[in-house]
Amino acid sequence: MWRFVIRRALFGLLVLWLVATTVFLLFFAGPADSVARRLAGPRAPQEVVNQIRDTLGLDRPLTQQYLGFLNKLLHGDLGTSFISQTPVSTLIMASLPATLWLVAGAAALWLTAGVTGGVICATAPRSLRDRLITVTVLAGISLPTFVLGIFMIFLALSVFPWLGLAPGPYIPPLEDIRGFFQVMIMPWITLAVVQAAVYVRLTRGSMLDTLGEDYIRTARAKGAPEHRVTYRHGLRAALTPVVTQFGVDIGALLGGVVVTESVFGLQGLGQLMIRSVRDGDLPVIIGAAVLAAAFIVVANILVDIAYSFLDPRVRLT
Amino acid sequence: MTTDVTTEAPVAAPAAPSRRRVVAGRFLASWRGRAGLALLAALFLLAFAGPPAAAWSFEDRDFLAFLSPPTAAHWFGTTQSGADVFVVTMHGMRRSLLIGLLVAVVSTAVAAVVGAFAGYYLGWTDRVLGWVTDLLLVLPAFLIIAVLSPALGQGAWLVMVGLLAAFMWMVTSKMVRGLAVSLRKREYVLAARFMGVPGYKIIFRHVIPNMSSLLIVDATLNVSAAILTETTLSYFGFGVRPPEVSLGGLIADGAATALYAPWTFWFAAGLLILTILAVNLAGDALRDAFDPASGGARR
Repeated sequence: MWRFVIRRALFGLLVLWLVATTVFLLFFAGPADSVARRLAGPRAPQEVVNQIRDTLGLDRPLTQQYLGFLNKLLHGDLGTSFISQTPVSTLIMASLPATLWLVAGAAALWLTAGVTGGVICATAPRSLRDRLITVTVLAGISLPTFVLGIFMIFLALSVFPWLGLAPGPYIPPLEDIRGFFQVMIMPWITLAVVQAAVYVRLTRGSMLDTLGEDYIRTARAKGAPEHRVTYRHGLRAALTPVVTQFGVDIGALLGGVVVTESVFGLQGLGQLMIRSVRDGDLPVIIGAAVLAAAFIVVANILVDIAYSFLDPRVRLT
Repeated sequence: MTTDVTTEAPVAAPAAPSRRRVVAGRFLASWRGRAGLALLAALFLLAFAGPPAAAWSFEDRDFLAFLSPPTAAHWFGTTQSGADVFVVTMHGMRRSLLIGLLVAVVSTAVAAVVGAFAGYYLGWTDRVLGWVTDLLLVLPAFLIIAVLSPALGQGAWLVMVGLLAAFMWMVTSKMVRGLAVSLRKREYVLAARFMGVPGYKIIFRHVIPNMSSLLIVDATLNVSAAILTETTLSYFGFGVRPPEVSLGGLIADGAATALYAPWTFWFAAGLLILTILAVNLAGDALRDAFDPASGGARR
């Protein structure tokens, strides 16, 4: 077990190094002047371009710049934002709570709705309720997040103004719990609707496979009640692919729920990313990219560990 | 509508004629297949035959009707600058449909080639291709496309297609690899190998054609994923750039005026949802037609 975790962690570090290198090359490979021009934007005056070239040391050989970049990264120094002149780590820490709360709340919603829906479908395949849920799921998958988000804001402002639901900015729950919910409920639902649809499909398919296994027949034959067969014997084994998907999704979403955050004006990591891309704020972009990749790598390791708990047949070596 | 359905049907077909008829029959027997195809045909017809039928062209501005609601002259109303919403929306839909189709074809083709080579040769080929695949899966695609797209310049929507495809093939390629690993031990592949057919020819003649059902279904479902990604990027201004338009950019523009001029937003948003729904319906029905044992919609 521990050998497995250590090996995966080392491999994860290797992947992160590759990501950092790729992002670095994406920005810094090329002649010094054209790199500085790209960072400054097409309309910036020549002095600004020169200043950027000198402060970043773009004249140095690429290997030297790269080693400097890696050295800083290893010491946890993500640099300073071009625009706001604050350390990137400060900016990221300030944006993290909104994203964490958004993903946590939405994950609770979509996991509950998705798994419940999937089980309901799988216990009565091809029945009316199965078909109804399947059609709803198809509609949910076809809804672009940004359209759904705008639609929710439209509803909140024009049809249900008395609910007090409002798009952003993020309010910490310890400061004002009522305001927190009024701001977060719409983003939670928006993010959860699209995700839940995927989970209903996944759970339904996996459940149908599992319920066809021999040990389910054995459980029924020995007289176990149907709900026990469904949940204790069936659902537990059927959850394995759901857990995989969940880990992958959480990892990807923590790296920035770009669309939902932007539509609702929550100042999370996704919003930070969009803003830094618009401003050409390179240190923030690199920091956000490496962090997003780190979330995915860690989530993948956790998924593999969770496997061994859910399915006793899986042994980690 | 029924005539459209019958003419479009052979698209859904693999190589062998008898199997082709079986699959097409199953596809058309399901309401999802019929509805998806009919909807898609109608949307394509609208996008390509609609603008010529309208009285306005893409560049026209009606200076007598700013932000006018839908009328007989302007079927979907006009925008703040007097542009005809119907014509602009159809242009956007055309671009989005084209990008979606191209991205799906390119990304599925890349997935097929990479996965088949990795699965057929195994060893170092497999390891190196696997690393590339895993690295691309970890890279934050949205961020990278957003950063690169301004460097492309205006009107470079084909480069956009390449970028989108570059980040969409990985999951399919893993499935293809798995299939190729099992196909390489089949008698017909072994026979070809013992006859001295070089590996790349075996891959293109025997391995890839024998997983066409997986590839066709996957390409179809990739169309909706590609349209979603492209419109989302364009919504943020990182995708298709003016003067070209995409549904995403139109929805972003319309959202600003949606509260008091709903027609600037709802037509584009509704058509986008319909397009994705149609592709998903057809994709689901196709998967069930190829593999009736899959028990309805399953991923």
